[in-house]
Amino acid sequence: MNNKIRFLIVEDDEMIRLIHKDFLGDLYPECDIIEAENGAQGICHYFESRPDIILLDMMMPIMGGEAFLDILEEGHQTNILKDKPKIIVVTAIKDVKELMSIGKRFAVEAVISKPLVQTQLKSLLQDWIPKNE
Amino acid sequence: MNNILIIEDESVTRTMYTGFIQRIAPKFQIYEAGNVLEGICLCFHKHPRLILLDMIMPAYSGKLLIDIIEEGIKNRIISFQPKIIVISAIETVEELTALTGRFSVTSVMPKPLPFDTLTEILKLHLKL
Repeated sequence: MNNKIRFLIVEDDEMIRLIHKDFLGDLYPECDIIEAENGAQGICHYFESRPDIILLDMMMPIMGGEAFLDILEEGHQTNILKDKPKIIVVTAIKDVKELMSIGKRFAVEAVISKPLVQTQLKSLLQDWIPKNE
Repeated sequence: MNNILIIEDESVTRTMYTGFIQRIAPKFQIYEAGNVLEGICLCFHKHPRLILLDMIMPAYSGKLLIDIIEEGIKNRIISFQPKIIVISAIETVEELTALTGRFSVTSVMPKPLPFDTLTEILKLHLKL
């Protein structure tokens, strides 16, 4: 992965999308950032653009994050999908058991609780995207 | 692309649909999905011209696929628009109205499927 990395933000709150976008744009000025305001749009963008990293909210109208994860996991189980994006779930869910069960999912790389701790996200991304590559 | 996708959880019914469509549209490649999640992945992967969609399936219903396709079309995220033939054991007028009102749904057919009607629909939409 390099600076031209492609991000997909799946989040219904426009303000949070903007915060994510600014944050990622500052960290990786040459990256591509795609936005979706619900899981259904997110799935369409995923298949059309194949992002490297996805920031996924869980609770959204029309289709939530759980269905998004279910679709991707089914795609991998049935070998329809070959590439595996790194999915960071960014959620307001506070229940520890629920958070743990999301974190254990095959498709999920990390779970971050809202309000987003940007240092947490930055540290994750820096592990995945080495500098000067 | 000359692809047709069948999304149906009952394997015997799926096989029956496949056999029938193969006879009607032999030049088309048929893909089968046993649930809507697999169906969504195949839909984006194969861009079928026509989807035969069972509505009532375990875990997620056919509505999920319709929601996704409509969001993709409305927001101009996807460039393909499959013709969706919904197969449903319709029990109420409200259910029928809700389905026929969806812009991505081409036809709604009762279950069990009348094959003579399906033949006509396939001929019409696939230009056979």
